[in-house]
Amino acid sequence: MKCNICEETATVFLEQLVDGKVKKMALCSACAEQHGVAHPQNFSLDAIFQSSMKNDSSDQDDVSDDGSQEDDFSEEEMFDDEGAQGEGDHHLPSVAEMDLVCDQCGFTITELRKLGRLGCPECYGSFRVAMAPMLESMHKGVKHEGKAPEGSLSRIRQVEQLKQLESELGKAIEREAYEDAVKLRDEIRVLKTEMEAVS
Amino acid sequence: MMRFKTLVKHPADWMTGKNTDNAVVLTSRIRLARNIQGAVFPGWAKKAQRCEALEAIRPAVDALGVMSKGFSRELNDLTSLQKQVLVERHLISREQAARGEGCAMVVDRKQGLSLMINEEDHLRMQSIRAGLDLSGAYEPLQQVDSELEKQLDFAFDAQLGYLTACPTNLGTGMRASAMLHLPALALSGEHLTQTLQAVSKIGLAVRGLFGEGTESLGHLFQISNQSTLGQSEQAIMRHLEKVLQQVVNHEKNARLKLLEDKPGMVADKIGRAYGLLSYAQMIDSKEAFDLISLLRLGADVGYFEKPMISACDALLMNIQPGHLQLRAGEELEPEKRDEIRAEIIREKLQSFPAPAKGITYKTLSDEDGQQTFMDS
Ligand SMILES: [Zn+2]
Ligand SMILES: [Zn+2]
Repeated sequence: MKCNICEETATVFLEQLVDGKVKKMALCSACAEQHGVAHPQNFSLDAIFQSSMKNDSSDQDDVSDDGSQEDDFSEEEMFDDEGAQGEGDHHLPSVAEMDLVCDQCGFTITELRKLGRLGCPECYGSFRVAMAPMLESMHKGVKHEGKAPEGSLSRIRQVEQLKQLESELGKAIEREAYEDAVKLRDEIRVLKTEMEAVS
Repeated sequence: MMRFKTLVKHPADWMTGKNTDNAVVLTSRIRLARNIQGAVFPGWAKKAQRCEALEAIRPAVDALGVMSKGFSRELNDLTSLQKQVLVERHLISREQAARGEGCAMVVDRKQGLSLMINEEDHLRMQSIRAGLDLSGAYEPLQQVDSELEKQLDFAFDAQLGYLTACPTNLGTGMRASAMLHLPALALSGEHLTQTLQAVSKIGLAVRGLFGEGTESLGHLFQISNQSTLGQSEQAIMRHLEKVLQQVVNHEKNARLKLLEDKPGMVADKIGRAYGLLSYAQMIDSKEAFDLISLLRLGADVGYFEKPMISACDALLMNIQPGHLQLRAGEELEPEKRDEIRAEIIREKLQSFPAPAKGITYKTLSDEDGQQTFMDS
């Protein structure tokens, strides 16, 4: 998905309730930074900190079964009123009133503030900058030390590598570079055999 | 597959403190949190997503060598009384007990390792040992973790470590804790508060018997690490162990000092506790816990034979509401529970003679745990 302001790939997703309708916005990291998304004023770190400290064993369960998370971003919903992409930001809702949202699972930073928990592992990527001060005050360090899941990591790397090779193969075929394509296909075959051998 | 009856009938070694010095530190416990890459955390997942995660995780868990012949159930397949008993045994959390479809628990036959699927995180794995032995608890758990990681893709970030539903568990995903019995510090006025305040000031958490928000019963406290990011598992355990060792020394010194300064008061309290527990016809949990705590102290400072300590630990488990009702085979009104509780305690104490004046069983300073008679 592209940034609503420029043409870059969007990495930050926001939403806001306007007249009972959810308005959504997608921004690239540069535009997000420029609009202060990284440091929204009304974003209460204290509240997040407190709620997450006391809920290690709280009683909330099943926040999900009401189906609150199933609204995917669709291009049509973006700025459906004015359609002014690329024309600057005069009509953008104030960022302070927007809510950061994880594009993977639909969890918002307001929910994090309320529940003290996240929606999915990818939420950490979606809220990375906003959460940084909170994590800093919560833990003794900001960089992981200790055990790492080597097996998982190498499998994840292989899957990414495979995706990369397959997309390169597609491009090679498109531009009719058949010699490259053959080479890529061989590489893919080797990688796939490796992956199967492990599992 | 292990039956519930079998599980309940055979207490784990860590519950009885077999062959361990557990006079002050009853148990050491390590918990690891893990999640599946690309899957929504259980608390935010829809029922179908949760069941899908369970389907993915369970075969890997059931295939673990250590879990063969273990106890493995979906929470849906357990009665609420069974769940309560498992909570009282610290084999599942209260949160997990409240869950149903799509959630499961697995315990090894020795009840030292337990796994919860779809608790707050996709996987919560726990290992318990008697006495102060954090690394002894960590090692088998660490092996299980490595074993599972061959099958499952755990959510992990080079910067943030293992990704968990609650940011308080990020990094190692590890909570190391110990259950401590601190009656002498409690009896010597301000010392307990001071010690526990000092512990929380250096970033460790202090809680009651059943974790957060529970009041302290029977002078039992849990101390655990708060921070999980930025320190390795070993560093977290080393730091915690050092602090625990200091608290243990405080408590041991307080025991010696009490005996020296107020032998009459100590003897009176322990004697009264024994008397009440030996003859009570009805007793509630709180009173029972507090009195049993005094017997436990009495055993360590020489008023009873050493096996009194494990008798006390068995009682602490068996007089809890779930265990009581399981034994009775029916749901019981609180009043009836108090009767059965008193009965269980009286029965247990029959094999221990009352603390007699002038006779003590020497212990405490007696590090090798030998029981010797000593006339004083
Ligand atoms: Zn942009
Ligand atoms: Zn998410």
